[in-house]
Amino acid sequence: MIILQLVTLPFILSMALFSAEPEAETTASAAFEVDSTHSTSIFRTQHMGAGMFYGRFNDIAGTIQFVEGMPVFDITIDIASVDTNNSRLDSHLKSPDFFNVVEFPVMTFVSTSSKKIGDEKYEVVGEFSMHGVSKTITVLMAKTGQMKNSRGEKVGFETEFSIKRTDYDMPYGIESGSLADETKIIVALEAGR
Amino acid sequence: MNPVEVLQFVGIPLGIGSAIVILSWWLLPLKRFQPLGVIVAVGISSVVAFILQEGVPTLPPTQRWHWLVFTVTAVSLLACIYPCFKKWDNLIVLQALIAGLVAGLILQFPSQQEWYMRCLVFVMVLFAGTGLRRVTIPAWHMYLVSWAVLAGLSILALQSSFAKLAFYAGAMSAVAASMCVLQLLRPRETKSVQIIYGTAIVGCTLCGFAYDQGDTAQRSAWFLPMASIPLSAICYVAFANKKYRAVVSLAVVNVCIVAAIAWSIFATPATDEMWP
Repeated sequence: MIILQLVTLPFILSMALFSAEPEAETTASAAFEVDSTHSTSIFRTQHMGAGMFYGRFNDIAGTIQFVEGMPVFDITIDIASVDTNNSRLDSHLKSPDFFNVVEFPVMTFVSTSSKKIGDEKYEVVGEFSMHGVSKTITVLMAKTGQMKNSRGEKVGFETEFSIKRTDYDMPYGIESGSLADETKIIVALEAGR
Repeated sequence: MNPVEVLQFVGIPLGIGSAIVILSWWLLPLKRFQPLGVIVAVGISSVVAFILQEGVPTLPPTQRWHWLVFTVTAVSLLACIYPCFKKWDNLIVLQALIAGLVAGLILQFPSQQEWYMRCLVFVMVLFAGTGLRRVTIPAWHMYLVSWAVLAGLSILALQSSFAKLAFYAGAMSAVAASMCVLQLLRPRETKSVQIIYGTAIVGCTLCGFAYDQGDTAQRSAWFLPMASIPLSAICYVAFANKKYRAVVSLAVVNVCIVAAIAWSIFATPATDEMWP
């Protein structure tokens, strides 16, 4: 009898392990990989108290995953890809006066919780890290679409939020009035699997 | 960068440094303690120049380039001790050796933490410190060289879009210019100041090099102003004609600085874009 139990125990254990896998699949789907080409990250800040000045980051990476129907974001933006259509300004933004790309090469957003607040609209709470400072922020994410065809499955999200540069230890130009503290960030993501 | 910013970030440290030296003329009448006036003035000007840019620094610093001001402050405190010991007064090499050790330990710029880089920092501070001031090299010459080299480094920082370093180096350069004028107006003992300027020059050089986003050829220009210091010292000491040796040694410094700036400008890809 003991021999029978010893022989059957590994089978019972392995059956239990295999039966756990499909359950996990129902809670977390396979991750969507962010498509850098079709994703955009724009920032906007006021220059000299007058015009609105725009710039963008060209390299966005990361994943979007659905866990129990709620989106989970893990997004990384390469600071070195900053593009303002002026190479001298790009160079200044990469310097320690602003982003300090040598020490802090990326900015990240990792969501910790999501809540559906309307039709394809989510309130996403996450950790936003930039310039060596991490802060918990809440952003409104709009699901712009999801489709599946022969090229795979795609999903799109868009958000718009504001940060204060002083919160991220980046106060250059505020005191002199050349640049505003508040910076608006617009991120449009397309991810596929 | 506008005139108001230049006045604020360069003018305030310059004013504070000059005021301290002028006050020290009355407050420190003893010959032995006279060097303290300039040492304190340069040390405090460095801290003020930094605080105006980045606020009060935290320890450990939030960004590695902040180690620059910690190093200059540590060496300034060391320099304060030397004038108190009469026998150490002229031990310029020993002072530079200790300053080099301190700088090698504290300076921690990105990709410069390896042991060989720390050895290099030690050697650089040693050469810059002893190159700025020998017993045979007068104090005004040290201030003139520091003024020119730091001004050159400020221009290189501006060229590499690092405005905060440009203002810091510019402020230190202006303070050196003021010290030179005050030294000529009322000659005072200036022992130990050379290690502060030597450390500041090495620090600004390595900081600029670490954060410059240009290619290697462009970045190499950073070392030329610093290299001119031992060259100028050799010229001053070795030049036979005593009447013109200061002219020759200062010419060497200025040629190296102009070459570094020209090198940096020509190595930068040509662009029609305006400075933002």
